[in-house]
Amino acid sequence: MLFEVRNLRVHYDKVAALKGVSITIAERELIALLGSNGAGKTTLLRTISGLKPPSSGEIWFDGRRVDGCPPHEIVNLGIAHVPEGRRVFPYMTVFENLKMGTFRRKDRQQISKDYETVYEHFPRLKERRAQYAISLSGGEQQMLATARALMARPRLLLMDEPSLGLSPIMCQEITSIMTEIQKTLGVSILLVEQNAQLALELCDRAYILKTGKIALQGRPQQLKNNHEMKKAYLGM
Amino acid sequence: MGEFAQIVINGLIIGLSYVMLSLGITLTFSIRRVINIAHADIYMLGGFMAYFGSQFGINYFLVLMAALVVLGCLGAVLDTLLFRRVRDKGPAGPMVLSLGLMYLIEGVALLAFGEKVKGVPSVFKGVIHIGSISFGVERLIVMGISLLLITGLFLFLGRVKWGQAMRALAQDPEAAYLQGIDINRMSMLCFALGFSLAGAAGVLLTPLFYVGYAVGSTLIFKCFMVLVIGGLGSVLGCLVGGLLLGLIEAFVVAYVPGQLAVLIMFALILVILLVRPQGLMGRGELT
Repeated sequence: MLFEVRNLRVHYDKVAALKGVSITIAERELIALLGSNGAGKTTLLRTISGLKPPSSGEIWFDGRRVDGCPPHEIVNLGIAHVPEGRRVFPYMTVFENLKMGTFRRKDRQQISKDYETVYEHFPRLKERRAQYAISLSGGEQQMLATARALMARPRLLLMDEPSLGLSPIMCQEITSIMTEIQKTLGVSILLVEQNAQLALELCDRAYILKTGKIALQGRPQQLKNNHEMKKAYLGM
Repeated sequence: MGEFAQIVINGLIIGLSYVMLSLGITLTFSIRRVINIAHADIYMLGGFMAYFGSQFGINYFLVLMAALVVLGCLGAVLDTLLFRRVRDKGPAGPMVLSLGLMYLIEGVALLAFGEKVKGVPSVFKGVIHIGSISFGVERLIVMGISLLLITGLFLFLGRVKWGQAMRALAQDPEAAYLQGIDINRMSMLCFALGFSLAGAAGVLLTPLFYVGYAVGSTLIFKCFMVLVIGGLGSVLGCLVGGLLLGLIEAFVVAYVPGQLAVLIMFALILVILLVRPQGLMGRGELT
């Protein structure tokens, strides 16, 4: 098992945001994390990437225990996080943003090749590589944030609401990119999404988070047929 | 014509030193949101290093190197021991800390060096003539080295990975952490660079003027003026603001008597602020 969260508890002051969450992710799997606002999805991602220390529980990646590690170590180990709201560096060029993704890498030759690979998968970024990130559209920024994370050569990619605020066309592009990342690059993805339909189309398995706990989990087909699921999250 | 050129050179030299000082404050502010009031005292320490260098006949460039290295290390140490502990505790903590640091450094300097200002003899003598204008060699060298150091920093921020990481950290700290950029190391580097530049400014300018335990207090105000004119957080703003302030000061002091000069400078700054309150290049991010 590439990645595992065991019984994770996270508090903000005295308030519990995650109350014993456990999930697993295998190699090359795309796992969706669904749930309404405030359920704790973003908190889980932030705890995994080291921005927030957990109160208790364990996080295992590649046979190593990583809970409580600072963000720069998590990146070193092979987990990259594309945060909610893109968070590209506004007054740096597209190229510079990508370069920041390689911050912890030392393999110069491979890095040069990786720029080429990224430009192949994201041709629009190649066009705009000398432009300031703030001048990009929402969809392009999302691509940039994703590409930046990929430049770190992660084995697990955490994506927080990539479809937020994007037009349907851009959503489709992001979706196909995620499929490529998973199938072609072989990177596992933990996808947090409010758009349950979109996520269920893409994922191998999904977890539904509700007020800090896993309420449901299973394969997309199972979940789509689940009555509770249909009512609450698929609006059927 | 010759007089005009002299004033311009003087203005540029003073301006460049303002730039070097203000760059340090801008860097640490952008990354840690710290306004280090003790920063100009590092200039003083550099100046005293120049003083001792001349007393013991140590090579000028050796003293400059020493100031860059020693004071840079001091910056890293102070960040690790002091400023890191008040991180994330709001803006008041670091400011009060730096204020205390200022008094401490100036107090020690007063005890060690006495209250009289000290001059340092010129190392480079001679004059160059270009057309009908004569330029002191020493002033040209100071200008040249200042430009070199400032250009070095700009290249570092613009092209070198760690320098770019500093800009990233200033623009979006969390996103920067997620790329693996380590705030503690970056902060140390920031302080080190800032202190190096401030110390270098001290070594370069003291032979042209003087050094004393209180030079820091006066200079820090000029620094704040530069930051306000140029815009907090913009290194380009530092450059523009510093040079502008230096030139204004040189011209005002040359043509206007004493106290009136200070008044006029403040008036000019007021005008700039009224027209553009965020400073000429202000954006709040390290750009």
